[in-house]
Amino acid sequence: MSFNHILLVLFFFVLLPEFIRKVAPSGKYDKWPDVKKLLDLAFGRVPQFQYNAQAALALAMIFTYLALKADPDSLASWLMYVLSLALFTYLAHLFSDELFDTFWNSVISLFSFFVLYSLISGIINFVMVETDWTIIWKNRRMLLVGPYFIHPITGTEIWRLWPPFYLIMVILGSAYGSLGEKKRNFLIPYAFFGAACTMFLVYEADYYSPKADAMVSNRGYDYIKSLILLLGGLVSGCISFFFVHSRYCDAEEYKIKYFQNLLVSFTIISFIFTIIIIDPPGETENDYSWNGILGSGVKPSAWGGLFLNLIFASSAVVVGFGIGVSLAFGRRSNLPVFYLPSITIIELIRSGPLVAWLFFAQILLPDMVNPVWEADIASRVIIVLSLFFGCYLAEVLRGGLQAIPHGQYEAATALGLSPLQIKLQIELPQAIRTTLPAIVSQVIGMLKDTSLVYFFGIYDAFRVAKDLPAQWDFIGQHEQALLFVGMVFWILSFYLSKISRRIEKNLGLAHEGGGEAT
Amino acid sequence: MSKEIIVTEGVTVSFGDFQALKGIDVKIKQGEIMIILGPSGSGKSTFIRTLNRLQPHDGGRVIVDGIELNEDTTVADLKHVRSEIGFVFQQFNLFPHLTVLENVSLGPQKAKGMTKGEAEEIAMRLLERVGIPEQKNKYASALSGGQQQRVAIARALAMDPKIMLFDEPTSALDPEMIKEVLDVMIDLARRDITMIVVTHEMGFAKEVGDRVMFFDEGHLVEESTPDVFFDNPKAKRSKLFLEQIL
Repeated sequence: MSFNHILLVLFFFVLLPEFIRKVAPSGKYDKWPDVKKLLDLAFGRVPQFQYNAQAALALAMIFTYLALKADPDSLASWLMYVLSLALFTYLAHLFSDELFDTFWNSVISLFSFFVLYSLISGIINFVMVETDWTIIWKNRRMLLVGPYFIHPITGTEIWRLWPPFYLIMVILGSAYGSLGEKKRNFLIPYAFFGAACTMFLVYEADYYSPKADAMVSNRGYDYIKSLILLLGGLVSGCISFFFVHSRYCDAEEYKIKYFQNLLVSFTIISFIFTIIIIDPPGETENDYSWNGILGSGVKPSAWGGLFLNLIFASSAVVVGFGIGVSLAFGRRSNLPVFYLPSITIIELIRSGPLVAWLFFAQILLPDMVNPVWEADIASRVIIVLSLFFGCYLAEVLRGGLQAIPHGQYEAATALGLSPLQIKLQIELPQAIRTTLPAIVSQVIGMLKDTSLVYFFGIYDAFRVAKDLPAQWDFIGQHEQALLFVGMVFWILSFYLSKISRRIEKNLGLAHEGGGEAT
Repeated sequence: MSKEIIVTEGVTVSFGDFQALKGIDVKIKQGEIMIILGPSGSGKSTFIRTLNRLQPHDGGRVIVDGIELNEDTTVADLKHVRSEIGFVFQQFNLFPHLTVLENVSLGPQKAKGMTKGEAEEIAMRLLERVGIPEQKNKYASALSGGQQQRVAIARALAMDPKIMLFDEPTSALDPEMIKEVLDVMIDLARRDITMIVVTHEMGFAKEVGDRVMFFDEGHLVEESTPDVFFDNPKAKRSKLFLEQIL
């Protein structure tokens, strides 16, 4: 007996009678209860607690999962179905005032529930029951950092990735701490995030490998050291959260603003620090000034995995930001010497698709830059991505600059500020403030665009996922690998857009258009 | 006699075909308080904007503090003139991304190269003078219109100017807030500072003005003391104007 059978029963015994009751002459079928009454009858009038619905939903999902997992047609499976149905009905009861207040509303609710349930149970069935995710578990490190960092010989270089991780955690913790919200709002999601990271690192199960013709562990690496480092990172994020939160939860707004500005500067410095740690500047062995400490580093073309996507995107954003700001001001300038090149660059770059520009980076750019700088393909790709991001950002910023009231410019001029000071102190901060949501959506776009580098033999997460099914043990398992990477990109983009909405909200609440009184 | 700090000779300004100023000759002495009256569109604001070259003039001469303002004025000279002139706008034009204290201390820091500490000390003194030191860490949008305008006056004063230009400072304010701004301006008028005020506040003009200029359609129609102007205006246009507003 599957869930759909139960729904069928529901249809015949609840929905159909009610339909008859509505269309039939009144009085004749009044004995049939309507859905809302039925639900009230089943569960009574319980008070609505804040977490009731969430808990019920989670439990309902778990029972659905167990029902799908259990042997079909067994008593256990049937029991689980009934339990999950009861929980879903309880959910419906919690919202019965909105979902079942009129007859047609009840019909629509039941139908939507049917569709949603089929979808959810389908997803649960696919993700948790049917599909074998061993390919991801076995290659999790490869997906994260690419082949170079996990190679038996070159894998020792992986230590270079830990300092950036610590920095990111500290920055994240401080940023959330400075928001001055309840601790719970940060700690609960953070605990889930930490648990997910730990599980991703530690999880182990044996699977049958056709290549070795034996049962093999799906982890295949020593995790103790990484686990200690990971927990250290999580704890340092937590500590920085508590530290900042205790200092700034009741602080005045200008202090928080000041701290957040500091944090932005710190983020940019950490980014540069990250690049230096991973690939210290210098071309030949003798160039490395920190040879003893940092060694020769890892060239960008050896980077890989999700880490590469993130670092390419952030490089493009950081470098592109500088380019974008100069192009935006250049385009607004009255001097041909500034606005002609700016317009040319912006229109030229924007009129070609990114892929074309990436091919330009691969094929033509070496001829242009090689005499000065023998850049590898990864560096060239970063140049092109930055330019691309910068040009789009320039147009976004130009909109923000045009929206600044002329009075701001006049007031700054009357104070005796130089044109450059006006641009940097007055115009730019206000333009960034108003265009921040648009800028964040550019950043999301850039993060996804980085997967295009898979054309050029760079092992980004997407490329890794595409090549994984060539492994002997997992031949042809394309869906798992690609879905997983798609999901990771979705989560990252969703998180970024959540941040953007949040910033938008903060900006909307605080000081809009302070110069205008009329 | 104190020296003449602002001299204009035949100043003209055109916007396309429209001539906003049709030859203005004015001499203003140091420490004088000059009131500019006139109907809207008469060129009052345009005139005081030419004095710190927010509005470049097409013809005639503008000489401020011994420096002639035109296309050939060096950047250093222009900067000097602007640091000598404080400008207060009708719409306040405070910087919305900065706190009150930062608004006031920005000028001395950036244009005069003071350290942050020095600039903030000056800013605090001025905020006390305009009566809102307790608002120093708020953002402009959290203040009332009158408070914003007082911050704007403090911001202009922070450059320690010899001349203050006011472009209808109370026109964008609610009636009950006008007094607090005028009080600050009257206090300012008692110190030895040259003020040029475009205003519609006749009471203020009578009380503190040393001289009154009446503008109409780009011409300087009448120039006299407040007593003469308000009680016995010579020009026909001035009479008409006074009849309409009094």
